[in-house]
Amino acid sequence: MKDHCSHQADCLKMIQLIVDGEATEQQLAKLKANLESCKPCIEMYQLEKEVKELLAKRMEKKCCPEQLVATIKSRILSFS
Amino acid sequence: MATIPEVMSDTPTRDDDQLLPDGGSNEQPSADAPARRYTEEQKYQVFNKEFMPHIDSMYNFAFRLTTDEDDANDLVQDTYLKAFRFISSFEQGTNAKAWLFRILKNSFINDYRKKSKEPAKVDYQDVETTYNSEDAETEHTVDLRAESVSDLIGDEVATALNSLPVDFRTVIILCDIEGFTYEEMAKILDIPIGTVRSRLHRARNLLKEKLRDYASSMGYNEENEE
Ligand SMILES: [Zn+2]
Repeated sequence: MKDHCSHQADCLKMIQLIVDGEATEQQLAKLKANLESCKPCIEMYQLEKEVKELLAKRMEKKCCPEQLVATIKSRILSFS
Repeated sequence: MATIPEVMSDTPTRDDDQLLPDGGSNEQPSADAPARRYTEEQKYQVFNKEFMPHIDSMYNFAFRLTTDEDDANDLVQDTYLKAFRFISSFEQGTNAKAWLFRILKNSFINDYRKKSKEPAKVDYQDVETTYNSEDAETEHTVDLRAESVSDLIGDEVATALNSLPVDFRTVIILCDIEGFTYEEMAKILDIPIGTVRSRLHRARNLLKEKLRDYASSMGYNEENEE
Protein backbone atom coordinates (compact mmCIF):
# COMPACT_ATOMS: atom_id res chain seq x y z
CA MET A 1 0.00 0.00 0.00
CA LYS A 2 1.44 3.36 -1.07
CA ASP A 3 1.34 6.13 1.53
CA HIS A 4 2.22 8.77 -1.00
CA CYS A 5 0.49 9.38 -4.31
CA SER A 6 2.68 10.96 -6.95
CA HIS A 7 -0.23 12.05 -9.16
CA GLN A 8 -2.55 13.24 -6.45
CA ALA A 9 -4.06 16.21 -8.31
CA ASP A 10 -4.68 14.18 -11.46
CA CYS A 11 -6.04 11.29 -9.42
CA LEU A 12 -8.45 13.69 -7.74
CA LYS A 13 -9.78 14.89 -11.08
CA MET A 14 -10.30 11.32 -12.21
CA ILE A 15 -11.98 10.43 -8.94
CA GLN A 16 -14.46 13.27 -9.41
CA LEU A 17 -15.35 12.03 -12.89
CA ILE A 18 -16.01 8.62 -11.44
CA VAL A 19 -18.08 9.88 -8.54
CA ASP A 20 -20.10 11.94 -11.05
CA GLY A 21 -20.66 8.94 -13.31
CA GLU A 22 -18.75 10.61 -16.14
CA ALA A 23 -15.70 8.38 -16.33
CA THR A 24 -14.62 6.09 -19.15
CA GLU A 25 -14.12 2.32 -18.64
CA GLN A 26 -10.39 2.99 -18.76
CA GLN A 27 -10.56 5.52 -15.93
CA LEU A 28 -12.74 3.17 -13.91
CA ALA A 29 -10.18 0.39 -14.29
CA LYS A 30 -7.41 2.73 -13.25
CA LEU A 31 -9.27 3.83 -10.14
CA LYS A 32 -9.96 0.22 -9.21
CA ALA A 33 -6.24 -0.47 -9.31
CA ASN A 34 -5.47 2.65 -7.26
CA LEU A 35 -8.06 1.75 -4.66
CA GLU A 36 -6.19 -1.45 -4.00
CA SER A 37 -2.77 0.07 -3.75
CA CYS A 38 -2.81 3.80 -2.95
CA LYS A 39 -3.84 5.16 0.44
CA PRO A 40 -4.20 8.84 -0.57
CA CYS A 41 -6.42 7.78 -3.49
CA ILE A 42 -8.66 5.73 -1.19
CA GLU A 43 -9.02 8.69 1.16
CA MET A 44 -9.74 11.15 -1.65
CA TYR A 45 -12.35 8.81 -3.07
CA GLN A 46 -14.08 8.47 0.28
CA LEU A 47 -14.07 12.23 0.84
CA GLU A 48 -15.47 13.07 -2.61
CA LYS A 49 -18.24 10.52 -2.17
CA GLU A 50 -19.04 11.77 1.33
CA VAL A 51 -19.24 15.42 0.25
CA LYS A 52 -21.44 14.56 -2.72
CA GLU A 53 -23.76 12.62 -0.45
CA LEU A 54 -23.90 15.47 2.06
CA LEU A 55 -25.05 17.78 -0.71
CA ALA A 56 -27.55 15.34 -2.18
CA LYS A 57 -29.10 14.03 1.00
CA ARG A 58 -28.52 16.28 3.94
CA MET A 59 -29.49 19.66 2.59
CA GLU A 60 -33.08 20.75 2.95
CA LYS A 61 -35.09 20.43 -0.26
CA LYS A 62 -37.24 23.49 -0.73
CA CYS A 63 -40.70 22.86 -2.16
CA CYS A 64 -42.41 25.40 -4.35
CA PRO A 65 -45.16 27.20 -2.36
CA GLU A 66 -48.68 26.18 -3.47
CA GLN A 67 -49.57 29.83 -3.86
CA LEU A 68 -46.86 30.29 -6.48
CA VAL A 69 -48.07 27.26 -8.45
CA ALA A 70 -51.59 28.72 -8.43
CA THR A 71 -50.36 32.16 -9.50
CA ILE A 72 -48.35 30.75 -12.41
CA LYS A 73 -51.28 28.65 -13.62
CA SER A 74 -53.68 31.56 -13.55
CA ARG A 75 -51.17 33.95 -15.18
CA ILE A 76 -50.63 31.69 -18.18
CA LEU A 77 -54.37 31.21 -18.64
CA SER A 78 -54.73 34.95 -19.15
CA PHE A 79 -51.94 34.99 -21.75
CA SER A 80 -53.32 34.23 -25.21
CA MET B 1 -21.16 4.79 -15.78
CA ALA B 2 -21.05 3.86 -19.44
CA THR B 3 -18.24 4.70 -21.80
CA ILE B 4 -19.09 8.11 -23.16
CA PRO B 5 -15.88 9.27 -24.83
CA GLU B 6 -17.31 12.54 -26.12
CA VAL B 7 -18.10 13.58 -22.57
CA MET B 8 -14.44 13.34 -21.79
CA SER B 9 -13.43 15.54 -24.69
CA ASP B 10 -12.76 19.21 -24.26
CA THR B 11 -14.85 19.97 -27.29
CA PRO B 12 -18.22 21.37 -26.41
CA THR B 13 -21.11 19.43 -27.87
CA ARG B 14 -23.47 22.22 -28.68
CA ASP B 15 -25.06 20.82 -31.82
CA ASP B 16 -28.61 20.80 -30.50
CA ASP B 17 -28.21 24.10 -28.76
CA GLN B 18 -30.98 25.66 -30.78
CA LEU B 19 -33.46 23.62 -28.79
CA LEU B 20 -32.82 25.87 -25.86
CA PRO B 21 -34.09 29.44 -26.10
CA ASP B 22 -32.02 32.35 -25.07
CA GLY B 23 -33.96 32.92 -21.91
CA GLY B 24 -32.06 36.05 -21.00
CA SER B 25 -32.23 39.66 -21.99
CA ASN B 26 -32.82 38.69 -25.58
CA GLU B 27 -36.58 38.43 -25.73
CA GLN B 28 -36.72 36.90 -29.18
CA PRO B 29 -36.39 33.16 -29.72
CA SER B 30 -33.16 32.63 -31.64
CA ALA B 31 -33.58 32.93 -35.38
CA ASP B 32 -32.51 29.39 -36.15
CA ALA B 33 -34.87 27.84 -33.62
CA PRO B 34 -37.30 25.64 -35.46
CA ALA B 35 -40.63 27.13 -34.50
CA ARG B 36 -43.17 24.50 -33.57
CA ARG B 37 -46.80 25.16 -34.16
CA TYR B 38 -48.64 24.13 -31.09
CA THR B 39 -52.36 24.77 -30.90
CA GLU B 40 -53.44 26.76 -27.85
CA GLU B 41 -54.61 23.52 -26.28
CA GLN B 42 -51.28 21.81 -26.95
CA LYS B 43 -49.41 24.70 -25.38
CA TYR B 44 -51.20 24.22 -22.09
CA GLN B 45 -50.74 20.49 -22.36
CA VAL B 46 -46.98 20.77 -22.85
CA PHE B 47 -46.77 23.35 -20.09
CA ASN B 48 -48.64 21.20 -17.59
CA LYS B 49 -47.12 17.85 -18.51
CA GLU B 50 -43.54 18.79 -19.26
CA PHE B 51 -42.83 22.01 -17.35
CA MET B 52 -44.88 21.94 -14.16
CA PRO B 53 -43.46 18.64 -12.82
CA HIS B 54 -40.07 20.39 -12.42
CA ILE B 55 -41.37 23.25 -10.34
CA ASP B 56 -39.98 22.03 -7.01
CA SER B 57 -36.51 21.55 -8.49
CA MET B 58 -36.78 24.97 -10.11
CA TYR B 59 -37.80 26.59 -6.86
CA ASN B 60 -34.98 24.84 -5.03
CA PHE B 61 -32.48 26.04 -7.65
CA ALA B 62 -33.85 29.59 -7.47
CA PHE B 63 -33.62 29.57 -3.71
CA ARG B 64 -30.04 28.26 -3.72
CA LEU B 65 -29.07 30.98 -6.22
CA THR B 66 -30.81 33.92 -4.59
CA THR B 67 -30.73 32.63 -0.97
CA ASP B 68 -34.01 34.49 -0.50
CA GLU B 69 -37.57 33.12 -0.61
CA ASP B 70 -39.18 36.21 -2.14
CA ASP B 71 -36.55 36.46 -4.85
CA ALA B 72 -36.91 32.73 -5.52
CA ASN B 73 -40.65 33.22 -5.91
CA ASP B 74 -40.23 36.03 -8.44
CA LEU B 75 -37.50 34.21 -10.32
CA VAL B 76 -39.52 31.01 -10.69
CA GLN B 77 -42.59 32.93 -11.77
CA ASP B 78 -40.67 34.95 -14.36
CA THR B 79 -39.07 31.78 -15.66
CA TYR B 80 -42.34 29.91 -16.12
CA LEU B 81 -44.00 32.86 -17.82
CA LYS B 82 -41.02 33.15 -20.16
CA ALA B 83 -41.13 29.41 -20.80
CA PHE B 84 -44.78 29.70 -21.80
CA ARG B 85 -44.12 32.67 -24.03
CA PHE B 86 -41.33 30.82 -25.86
CA ILE B 87 -42.98 27.43 -25.80
CA SER B 88 -42.78 27.16 -29.60
CA SER B 89 -39.00 26.80 -29.33
CA PHE B 90 -39.34 23.83 -27.02
CA GLU B 91 -39.44 20.46 -28.72
CA GLN B 92 -41.65 17.92 -26.97
CA GLY B 93 -39.78 14.90 -25.70
CA THR B 94 -36.48 16.75 -25.29
CA ASN B 95 -35.01 17.63 -21.91
CA ALA B 96 -37.56 20.01 -20.43
CA LYS B 97 -35.76 20.26 -17.10
CA ALA B 98 -32.49 21.41 -18.68
CA TRP B 99 -34.41 23.81 -20.93
CA LEU B 100 -36.16 25.37 -17.93
CA PHE B 101 -33.00 25.52 -15.82
CA ARG B 102 -31.25 27.39 -18.60
CA ILE B 103 -33.98 30.02 -18.76
CA LEU B 104 -33.93 30.38 -14.99
CA LYS B 105 -30.17 30.74 -14.83
CA ASN B 106 -30.20 33.39 -17.60
CA SER B 107 -32.99 35.31 -15.88
CA PHE B 108 -31.02 35.20 -12.67
CA ILE B 109 -27.89 36.58 -14.30
CA ASN B 110 -29.74 39.29 -16.21
CA ASP B 111 -32.34 40.41 -13.72
CA TYR B 112 -31.40 39.36 -10.21
CA ARG B 113 -27.68 39.16 -9.88
CA LYS B 114 -27.28 42.90 -10.40
CA LYS B 115 -29.77 43.87 -7.75
CA SER B 116 -28.68 41.31 -5.18
CA LYS B 117 -26.48 42.61 -2.42
CA GLU B 118 -24.04 39.78 -2.87
CA PRO B 119 -20.41 40.89 -3.10
CA ALA B 120 -19.76 37.98 -5.45
CA LYS B 121 -18.24 40.10 -8.22
CA VAL B 122 -15.11 40.92 -6.30
CA ASP B 123 -14.84 37.55 -4.62
CA TYR B 124 -15.36 35.75 -7.85
CA GLN B 125 -12.64 37.58 -9.72
CA ASP B 126 -10.26 37.01 -6.86
CA VAL B 127 -11.02 33.38 -6.79
CA GLU B 128 -10.95 33.03 -10.56
CA THR B 129 -7.51 34.58 -10.70
CA THR B 130 -6.19 32.40 -7.92
CA TYR B 131 -7.64 29.21 -9.26
CA ASN B 132 -7.14 29.86 -12.93
CA SER B 133 -3.42 29.50 -12.73
CA GLU B 134 -2.44 25.99 -13.73
CA ASP B 135 -0.36 25.64 -10.58
CA ALA B 136 -3.32 26.25 -8.35
CA GLU B 137 -5.24 23.61 -10.17
CA THR B 138 -2.59 20.92 -10.19
CA GLU B 139 -1.19 21.44 -6.72
CA HIS B 140 -4.36 22.09 -4.85
CA THR B 141 -5.77 19.32 -2.72
CA VAL B 142 -7.62 20.05 0.50
CA ASP B 143 -6.44 18.33 3.62
CA LEU B 144 -9.70 16.90 4.88
CA ARG B 145 -10.94 13.44 5.76
CA ALA B 146 -14.31 11.87 5.02
CA GLU B 147 -14.87 11.09 8.70
CA SER B 148 -14.52 14.73 9.72
CA VAL B 149 -17.33 15.91 7.46
CA SER B 150 -19.70 12.99 7.95
CA ASP B 151 -21.24 14.57 11.07
CA LEU B 152 -21.98 17.95 9.50
CA ILE B 153 -25.65 18.87 9.40
CA GLY B 154 -27.60 20.21 6.44
CA ASP B 155 -27.50 23.81 7.63
CA GLU B 156 -23.73 23.78 7.85
CA VAL B 157 -23.42 22.32 4.38
CA ALA B 158 -25.87 24.95 3.09
CA THR B 159 -23.93 27.79 4.73
CA ALA B 160 -20.68 26.51 3.28
CA LEU B 161 -22.28 26.26 -0.15
CA ASN B 162 -23.85 29.72 0.09
CA SER B 163 -20.49 31.25 0.90
CA LEU B 164 -19.12 30.25 -2.50
CA PRO B 165 -19.19 32.74 -5.40
CA VAL B 166 -22.34 32.17 -7.40
CA ASP B 167 -20.72 30.56 -10.47
CA PHE B 168 -19.08 27.95 -8.30
CA ARG B 169 -22.23 27.44 -6.28
CA THR B 170 -24.18 26.93 -9.49
CA VAL B 171 -22.11 24.03 -10.83
CA ILE B 172 -22.32 22.23 -7.51
CA ILE B 173 -26.10 22.67 -7.32
CA LEU B 174 -26.56 21.44 -10.88
CA CYS B 175 -24.25 18.45 -10.52
CA ASP B 176 -24.57 17.27 -6.95
CA ILE B 177 -28.06 18.39 -5.96
CA GLU B 178 -29.94 18.18 -9.26
CA GLY B 179 -27.91 15.37 -10.82
CA PHE B 180 -27.39 16.90 -14.26
CA THR B 181 -24.70 15.37 -16.48
CA TYR B 182 -21.70 17.46 -17.56
CA GLU B 183 -23.19 17.65 -21.04
CA GLU B 184 -26.50 19.01 -19.72
CA MET B 185 -24.63 21.47 -17.52
CA ALA B 186 -22.64 22.71 -20.51
CA LYS B 187 -25.90 23.51 -22.27
CA ILE B 188 -27.56 25.09 -19.26
CA LEU B 189 -24.54 27.31 -18.58
CA ASP B 190 -23.43 27.94 -22.19
CA ILE B 191 -19.88 26.82 -21.48
CA PRO B 192 -17.75 23.98 -22.92
CA ILE B 193 -17.70 20.66 -21.08
CA GLY B 194 -14.03 21.16 -20.24
CA THR B 195 -14.97 24.35 -18.41
CA VAL B 196 -17.77 22.55 -16.56
CA ARG B 197 -15.24 20.00 -15.37
CA SER B 198 -12.60 22.46 -14.23
CA ARG B 199 -15.10 24.85 -12.63
CA LEU B 200 -16.63 21.95 -10.74
CA HIS B 201 -13.17 20.85 -9.62
CA ARG B 202 -12.38 24.33 -8.27
CA ALA B 203 -15.80 24.72 -6.72
CA ARG B 204 -15.33 21.49 -4.82
CA ASN B 205 -11.91 22.49 -3.58
CA LEU B 206 -13.38 25.73 -2.26
CA LEU B 207 -16.32 23.94 -0.70
CA LYS B 208 -14.02 21.45 1.01
CA GLU B 209 -12.01 24.35 2.45
CA LYS B 210 -15.22 25.79 3.91
CA LEU B 211 -16.26 22.39 5.23
CA ARG B 212 -12.83 21.91 6.74
CA ASP B 213 -13.25 25.19 8.62
CA TYR B 214 -16.52 23.88 10.02
CA ALA B 215 -15.13 20.48 10.85
CA SER B 216 -12.11 21.95 12.60
CA SER B 217 -14.10 24.56 14.52
CA MET B 218 -16.28 21.75 15.84
CA GLY B 219 -13.18 19.84 16.92
CA TYR B 220 -11.81 22.96 18.56
CA ASN B 221 -15.00 23.47 20.57
CA GLU B 222 -14.94 19.91 21.80
CA GLU B 223 -11.40 20.33 23.04
CA ASN B 224 -12.38 23.55 24.76
CA GLU B 225 -15.22 21.96 26.64
CA GLU B 226 -12.92 19.59 28.42
ZN1 LIG C 1 -2.95 7.57 -5.94
